[in-house]
Amino acid sequence: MEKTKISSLQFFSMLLLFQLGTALVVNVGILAGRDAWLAILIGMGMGSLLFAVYAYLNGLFPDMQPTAYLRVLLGKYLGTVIGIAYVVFFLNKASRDLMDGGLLVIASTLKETPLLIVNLMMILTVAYVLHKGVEVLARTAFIFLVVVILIGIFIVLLVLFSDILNLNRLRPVLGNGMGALLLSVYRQNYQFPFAEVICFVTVMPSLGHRKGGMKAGHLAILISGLILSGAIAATISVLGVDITERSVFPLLTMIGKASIADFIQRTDILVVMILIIGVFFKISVFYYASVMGMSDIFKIPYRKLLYPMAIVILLLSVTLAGSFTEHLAKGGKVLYMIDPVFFVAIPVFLLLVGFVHSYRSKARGQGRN
Amino acid sequence: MGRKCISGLLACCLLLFTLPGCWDARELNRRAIVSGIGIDHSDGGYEVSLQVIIADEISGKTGRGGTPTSVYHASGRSVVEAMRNVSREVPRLISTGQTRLIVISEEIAREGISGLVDFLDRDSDLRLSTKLYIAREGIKASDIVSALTPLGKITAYALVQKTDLAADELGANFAVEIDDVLRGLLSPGGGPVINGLNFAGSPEKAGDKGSLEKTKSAGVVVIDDMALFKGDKLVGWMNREECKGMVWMLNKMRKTVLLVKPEGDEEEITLEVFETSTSTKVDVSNPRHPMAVIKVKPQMSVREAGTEIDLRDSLALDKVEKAANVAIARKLESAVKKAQQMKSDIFGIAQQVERTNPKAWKRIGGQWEEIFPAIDVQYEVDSIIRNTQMRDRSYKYHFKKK
Repeated sequence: MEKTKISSLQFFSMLLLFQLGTALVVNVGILAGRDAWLAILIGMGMGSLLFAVYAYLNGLFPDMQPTAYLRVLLGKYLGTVIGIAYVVFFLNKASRDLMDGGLLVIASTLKETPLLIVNLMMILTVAYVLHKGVEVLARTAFIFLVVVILIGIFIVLLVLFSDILNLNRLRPVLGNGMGALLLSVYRQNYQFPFAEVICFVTVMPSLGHRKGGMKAGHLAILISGLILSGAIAATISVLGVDITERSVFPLLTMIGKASIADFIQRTDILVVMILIIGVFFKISVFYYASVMGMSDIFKIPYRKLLYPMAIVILLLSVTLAGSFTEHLAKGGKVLYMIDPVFFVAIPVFLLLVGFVHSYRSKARGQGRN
Repeated sequence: MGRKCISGLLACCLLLFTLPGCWDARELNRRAIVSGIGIDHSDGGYEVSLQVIIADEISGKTGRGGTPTSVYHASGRSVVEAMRNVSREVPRLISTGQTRLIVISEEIAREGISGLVDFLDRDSDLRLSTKLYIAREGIKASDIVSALTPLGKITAYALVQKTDLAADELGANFAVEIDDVLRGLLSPGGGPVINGLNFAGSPEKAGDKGSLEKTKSAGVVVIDDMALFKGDKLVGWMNREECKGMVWMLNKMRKTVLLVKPEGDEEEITLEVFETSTSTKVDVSNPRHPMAVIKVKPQMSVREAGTEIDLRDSLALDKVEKAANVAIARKLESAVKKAQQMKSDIFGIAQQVERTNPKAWKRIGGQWEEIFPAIDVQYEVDSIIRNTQMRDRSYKYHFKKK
């Protein structure tokens, strides 16, 4: 495969859209109730630390796929097993995000369209872009970032001028104490969506300028954290904590309330647009990560794997959960029971092994001199 | 060659999915647009009346000279079932995406609205910004949605405009939307307040197209005073004074008129309040017996002075301001008394306590129902008269000199 290059700005747009993706629209961090915005900010901090871990690992082997350096660090057998586990994990995430997107589109606009059809359209588009390569995906991300920013500015102005914000609804801050807040962070806020950037380790080898890329990555996490936190704070101050808590898609409900002079209203379709764009990149990157991993482990060309995997993801997305409730319940549990293994435990373990590895290779290098 | 053929065929097959357009698209000519919904009591359930817009009559050219709206009824054990039962009468898909008004009969409101609020909250077509109303006793919600309106074509939309206008100009009510009601239902020891609707004239004739052919309409729907809820049940109606006081308490007052009689004067002066703000402070240092201080700062202008008063004289203005302070405090007090008498914390004082003193709230929150009626409220009104419109004295001032 030819060497692809992604600029820092493109990497930034990919990461930003990836994180806003589903998190902006679905009910995120609401475990912390009124303090959800704080929980997201703390989660963002932890996500930034985890990203530094992932970036460090990439720094050890700048041109290698993670599945390749897993084998270097952990040996052939353990490395392969963990590599396959990651591939499956990414596949699962890709199909979950596909379902998220499909369900929202059905809930909000295409009420009677079967989930399979909505998901099929989505995965076909994603597969096509990935077939063209990750470079094309990165360029697409930059174009869509502009669209999302424009929509974002419009929504912010709309909410500010329609006089529906009541910041009092955010008070009392920390009414349930620090414990409840930290529990929420532990349960969901750092994993979703911040630690999910782990799948970008497969994109990092394609970066044109590694250092700039990492800076762009941290900046993207910071900005997305601020946007998500602001969005949930705005939603709670418009709807109140109770309605927000019970909403499946709070942002959508909140935008439904906004209107300027009965003239500019019903703009919730813009939110659906943001979700579709975000979900597109979420699925793409997870999908890309799993295909890259698989092609590296089993030595099968990347493009040959692409379409069969599309079918796997599509079928998984309609069979993983029978209902939205089941989908959310599973997602919520996985988030703090299984995800930390992949997001935190293994990477931190690799980090330690990586320290030893780099120390030993340095020592060996010196010995040779 | 063979491979190209197959992939070409495959692409054609895939295109078949996209070419028919949206899967479940229904164009406007296949939809019945509902502008307002009336919900009445029926045996063992709800009777739903849908005000459907007849587009042909609105656009004018293709009209048959009929009414601009038409009303369909059906009953069911739940609101959704009733709405589906309506489809026996309506030839098109009922879409509630443009609904802006929902009227509930007082009969239902007295028994409790919790049964139907979930539908309003959950439905994905109805927006949370849809406004809620209560049809006063003796009037059916179906009569309200059946009425015609002389100004504007669609009654539901005209009523929504009336609500906003009355809230802006008179200040005895404010628009209540679905999410306001939900928050009211959930506020501890409180309840929502919802606008009432009444008829000026006869309800039967208001739905008759003939009523539009007279200058004095035989029946017009008017915005009435507001209904006070305790939990999900209507417990009483406020009068005009209490309504104004409540709007003021909630800091939703924009403009209003105020009649005062300054000390030593015989005639009343009419003031217009054009800017005002209210702040509430609750002191729970004695948790059994909280104290609340309401501070109001209205700015006014003189609109009518049928007396010999000299408004160039700042001492005279002071007197008017003092009289205004008393008058406003009386309104606020009447609203608070009414709410305390009904034991319903419609002002959200509970939330105020929770916000400012979460620890104290944890202790006393459980007994708020007993505490609320015993709250001591003080009113501090500081009126300022900013201008006197186009004249400083009334023409009557000259009679005084003689």
